[in-house]
Amino acid sequence: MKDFEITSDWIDRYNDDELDEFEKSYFQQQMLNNPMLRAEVYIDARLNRLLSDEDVLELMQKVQSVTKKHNQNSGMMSYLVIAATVISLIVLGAILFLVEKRPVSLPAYARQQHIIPVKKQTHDIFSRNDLKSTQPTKENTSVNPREISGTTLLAEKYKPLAEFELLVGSVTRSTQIRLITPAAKIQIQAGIPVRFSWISQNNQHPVSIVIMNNLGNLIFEAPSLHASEYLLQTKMLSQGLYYWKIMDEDELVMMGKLTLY
Amino acid sequence: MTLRYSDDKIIEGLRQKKSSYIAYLYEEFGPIVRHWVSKNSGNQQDVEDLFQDTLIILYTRSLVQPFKLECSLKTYFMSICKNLWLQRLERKFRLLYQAEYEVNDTEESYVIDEMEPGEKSLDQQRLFFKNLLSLPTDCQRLIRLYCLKIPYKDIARLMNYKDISSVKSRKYLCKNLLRKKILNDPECYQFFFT
Repeated sequence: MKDFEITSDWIDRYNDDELDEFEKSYFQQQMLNNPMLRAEVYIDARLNRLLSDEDVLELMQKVQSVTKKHNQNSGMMSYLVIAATVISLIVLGAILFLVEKRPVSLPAYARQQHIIPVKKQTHDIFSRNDLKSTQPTKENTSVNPREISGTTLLAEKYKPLAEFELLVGSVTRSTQIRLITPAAKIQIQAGIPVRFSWISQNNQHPVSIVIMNNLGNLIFEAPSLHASEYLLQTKMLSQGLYYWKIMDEDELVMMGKLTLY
Repeated sequence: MTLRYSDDKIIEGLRQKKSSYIAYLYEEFGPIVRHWVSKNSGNQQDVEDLFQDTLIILYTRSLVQPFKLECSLKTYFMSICKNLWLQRLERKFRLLYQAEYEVNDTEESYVIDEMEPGEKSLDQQRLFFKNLLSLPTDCQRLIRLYCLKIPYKDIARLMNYKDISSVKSRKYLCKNLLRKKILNDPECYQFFFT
């Protein structure tokens, strides 16, 4: 039997029925012994069938282009959603930061700093303890619980009282008394006296000064003052927020607040 | 605003292979298919493959006249889809628990059934199509023209080959390249060597 060299075009020719009888039987014999050749012939036959169905190919092409486009769009959408979320979070954060940020006076801030003192590292740079001191130790990292409670206490003392805050700087209803000093809101160091002065149309008209703490409790009262000024000693007062009232008999002349640091 | 089409209109659009109707179907049924496939151990690629296969079956059936839906298109579409997916899972499960590959195909495998494409056949189609698209453009065109039974002399004229023998030799080369690509594709083993 004559041997043929089977080239790749034989597969095409076999499926196109272009082999003569002798070649065909030889090719089929080869296929029986060669699974790879069988697979190739099968693939070729299936390919011919698929590729001749132009409609299905066109449909497949269109479906793939639609799904690809859709995925690209949804990918873009997810990027947009992520970008929008990040921007929203930044804007929200900025708004919250601006809303929450309250102006803290420098002395009050300094006082707060003083309550939990930052322990100074006093080691000598040439000392042998250099390496040791750079490590966080129990000694320099632990916080005294009393310091924490002290912070809380001091913060509480500066907490404004909402009801009084509304009245701070409110205009007097009294026509008899006109307050000159102090201003409605003052901040001074504890121990420095506060000068209250006013003009009274009738000196016989008694004026009283009432000092309350930030919880609304009465701390001090200077009743029936006939002079036109009064020096409030703050030595007796501890640091914190206080509210003062100038009363013309039972009538409120003015209300203000005093921050002692 | 999204347009809504009636089931008949969609079938008609699909018969004409209109991209707008295909896109509409993907918009409408894609999420349902995705939900169902992801619940049944599939991924995004499976969703796209399944959607394509379901559309091919729907398209093939819609061409057989008279085609009349006995239920809503959505129900019909999903029933094809679920059926295909379950067949695919079953086949993959069988493959997974097969001890080793062995060549067991016979000449009977060459008999091409004329019935509707089955799940395995659709999977093969996708494999072939994927590899066809990876060929050089002129090869793709030449193979498609050849498979459409365009005479060699017309192909030579259309593609500027000097004669019929050039077309033939180029066609052999291209088809050989495609077959090799398919055979070297890892997915190929499940169809031809199991």
